[in-house]
Amino acid sequence: MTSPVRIEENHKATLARLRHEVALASGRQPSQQEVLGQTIEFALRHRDQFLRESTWKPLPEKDIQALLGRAQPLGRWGSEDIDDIVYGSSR
Amino acid sequence: MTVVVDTGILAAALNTQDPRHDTGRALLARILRGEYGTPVSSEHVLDEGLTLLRTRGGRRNLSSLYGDMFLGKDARPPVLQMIMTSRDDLVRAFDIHLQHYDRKLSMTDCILAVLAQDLRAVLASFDGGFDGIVPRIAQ
Repeated sequence: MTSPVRIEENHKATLARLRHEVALASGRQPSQQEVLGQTIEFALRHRDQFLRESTWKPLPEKDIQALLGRAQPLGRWGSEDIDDIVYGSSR
Repeated sequence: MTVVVDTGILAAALNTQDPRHDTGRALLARILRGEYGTPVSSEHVLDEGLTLLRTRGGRRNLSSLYGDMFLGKDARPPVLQMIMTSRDDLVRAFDIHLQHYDRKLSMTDCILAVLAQDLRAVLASFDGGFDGIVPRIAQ
């Protein structure tokens, strides 16, 4: 799993927000231990993502072509019509 | 490096009659080759795409392929890493939704913007409504 050091390097904005949330909740500046607790909670919430990012591998070219080769004619609607089709909304 | 994948790219790649099929197909191929890093998406894109395919496609095998891309099948891992939305993500997406109300972004769009911001990722989407919010690739 990604180390806390890596998390801190990549998610400074999130850590700053966590510090702010702790400060708001407690009415005072959080101690280092409290911030660390929030950081660990953040890491646990995103653990699947960290694990997957570290293990994801590009698809072999034959698998990519096999996947794309399964495309079918589904009508002349465009990808820009998705919200209209799914939500019935007008963009 | 990470790329967040929007529904439109996948729909265009899977529908040979989509006006952007060739562009979507080429972009998805580059994404799956890892040219933009780890591809991720949201359970809301899984939902949106399956609803779309059932409504306009009605091809069970294509819906199956779409779902497998997110969920994997048998021993095969998913080709897109699905990130589940937390309450904090939803609150921030709602803020983006209201802040950019005139752009008519769906909540799914706004959730993808939050993911891209959190992961410092580029967003693969044909939707110009994201411009100025997160970096975007469309071809």
